[in-house]
Amino acid sequence: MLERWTHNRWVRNRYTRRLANWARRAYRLLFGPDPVAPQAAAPAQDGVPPMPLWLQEEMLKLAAMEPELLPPGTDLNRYAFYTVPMDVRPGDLYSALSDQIGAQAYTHALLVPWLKTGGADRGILYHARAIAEADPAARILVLATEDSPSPWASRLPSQATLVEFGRLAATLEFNLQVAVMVRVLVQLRAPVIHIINSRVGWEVVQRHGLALKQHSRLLASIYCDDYDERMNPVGYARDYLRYCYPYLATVICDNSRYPQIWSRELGVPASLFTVIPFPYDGLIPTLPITPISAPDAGRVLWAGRLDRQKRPDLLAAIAAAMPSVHFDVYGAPVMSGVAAQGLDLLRSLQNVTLHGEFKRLEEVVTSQHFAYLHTTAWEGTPTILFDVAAARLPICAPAVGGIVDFLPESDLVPNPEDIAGFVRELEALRDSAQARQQRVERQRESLDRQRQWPAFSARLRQLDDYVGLERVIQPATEVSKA
Amino acid sequence: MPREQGMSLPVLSAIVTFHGEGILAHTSLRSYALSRNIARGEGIEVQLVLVLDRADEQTRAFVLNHPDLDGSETVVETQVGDLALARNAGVAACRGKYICTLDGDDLISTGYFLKHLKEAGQLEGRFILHPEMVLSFGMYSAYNWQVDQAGGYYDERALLAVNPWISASFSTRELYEAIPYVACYPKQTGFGYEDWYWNSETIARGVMHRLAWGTAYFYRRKWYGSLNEASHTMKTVIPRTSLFALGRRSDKGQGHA
Repeated sequence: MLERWTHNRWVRNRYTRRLANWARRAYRLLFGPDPVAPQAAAPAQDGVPPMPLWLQEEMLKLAAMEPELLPPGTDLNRYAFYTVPMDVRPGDLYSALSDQIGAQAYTHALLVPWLKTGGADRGILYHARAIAEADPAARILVLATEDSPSPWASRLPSQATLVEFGRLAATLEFNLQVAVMVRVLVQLRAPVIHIINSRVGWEVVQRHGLALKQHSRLLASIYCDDYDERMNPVGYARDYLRYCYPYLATVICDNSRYPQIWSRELGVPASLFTVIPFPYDGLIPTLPITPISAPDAGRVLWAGRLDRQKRPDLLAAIAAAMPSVHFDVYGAPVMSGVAAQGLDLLRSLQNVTLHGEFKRLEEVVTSQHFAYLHTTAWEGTPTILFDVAAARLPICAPAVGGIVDFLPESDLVPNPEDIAGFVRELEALRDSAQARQQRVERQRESLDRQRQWPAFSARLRQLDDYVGLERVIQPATEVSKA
Repeated sequence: MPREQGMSLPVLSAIVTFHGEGILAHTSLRSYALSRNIARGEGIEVQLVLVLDRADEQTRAFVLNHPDLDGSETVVETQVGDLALARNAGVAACRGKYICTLDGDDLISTGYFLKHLKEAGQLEGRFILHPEMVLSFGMYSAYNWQVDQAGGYYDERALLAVNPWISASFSTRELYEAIPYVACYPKQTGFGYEDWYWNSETIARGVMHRLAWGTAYFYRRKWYGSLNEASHTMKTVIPRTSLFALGRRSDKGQGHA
């Protein structure tokens, strides 16, 4: 009787089962084995409840019918105890997100890592602005998936809501973050889901792209590869494009170079890509234009992130080869290894001043600069070049990545490692007012022709169903079938 | 079209779905017929509704020629190619006040039908019963208690990451008709786990998932080829469900209204 009672309706969870085991053991110690039970169940070990006797009896009856229940040479010990896991952490995260997202419908879900200073982050703001301008009724949900603050959230248009998924999910394993994110997106059914540099976003598309594309158009933006210490290409394109492309309506890239590279090297169709150059969001100088450089300008400006990509070692080598020219270097060091050695070399040079971080390029450009030097190992489209062009400073840069879309190749150093080539180019700009004049004219013309906001906005409108969605969007709370 | 020969009015209709179980269907039907005989011994008639959905010839032959069939069964042949729709087709052929769903390659404890009916008679409101215990055999061997929604272990929030119940269910015919299963077509849509989805929808609509105490489901864990395995391998997700409607408050979820 006790066996049946302690294995029956009262035994509903691991705690009461444990109590039941203790009760059974105490009963047996006091009164001996339960007289009703045909055989005593094995005592609980490490809190694991034994298989109830009634189930053992049923198993023995059915084993005569089903050979796989108790194969020859085995007994009931082959069956391990299992507990249905009731992990509430993903559900708790989902509840918190649900509260912040609310029941209203969204036309667009942008999955981004964060919103802070950076070129890709500018791109996110451009997309949000273009969507909002095209349709005042658009509702944009920006899901920031990394555990990092988003100080640029205040720059989003009023139709956008930023939810800090990554901060809320910080303690949850990556796989569970993906599970929660796919549930959010399945429930949301936003007509457009756009992934921009979000690993959770890419993983969601890779695992569940087929389900998501049933109710949403999936797009992604990738701008370039990164490169590891061996200079092998790495990044979202390399990790995900081959597996995700069947689910993606298009992949937006700000330059023409990388779609060619990915198509050639990964095999993804070239038709997958849409090149949409980033716009310049400042004022384009009016004509006639003159360089900012004074006739006797003798300094070079370098401004950027002092990391491996931007090749501070190359900058140091160029500065060392031009001892009569002073180099003003702005930017925070983010480096280790070989790149750190380049920084040490920079510090040792008499003709280099390391100024530290800068906020706006316009604040560090002076008439004493005759050129802006851009060193880099790889690039998408460095938007700082737009600021330099607008500041009327001649640019000396290599023909790398999307730089070739912005500036004529004849104005670029063909080989990004060619120190002598950079030196020749800088000397030409220093020595010739006419060269500086022609360079800034071409830079301005490029800004004016390629980087106007209306052109960017028009290109997005040309994408199928990206902006200006005319369809009636379904409320997120509607109960519906698959 | 349903084919049937027996005409006695059943209390319970047991839907068994088949598609490609082959010879394993034979053992399952032996188990289900045994439980039916035990119910009959207590004066309870159980209608076996055998749904052959795109069943291969071998499976069809094992089912239709089974020696334990006595002509009272209803055979439904469908070409829907989906477990949810196959079950719904079975529901349409049910005549009992209560319905339970079973898979075509599993087994059940001998008093399964009787004890479900006994438990149902003690419950009020809208409910779904699941067997108290699951014994998995085949590819791996394990036993577990299922989760009672009225018990302390249940927490609705966990349903986002786990389906607490196997697909075997029991409720009134009225409930199965009001909240039918929804086709997912995993290979075409990426959505799956129709039973997980159905459990979510029913909970959201105030149905309580309880246990039929003293019953067990012997769940064959195949080495390959199960529909559940297909959903899992394909990394499918359940469709949009009102249980996780954005903006809706969620808690332990016992006694939803």
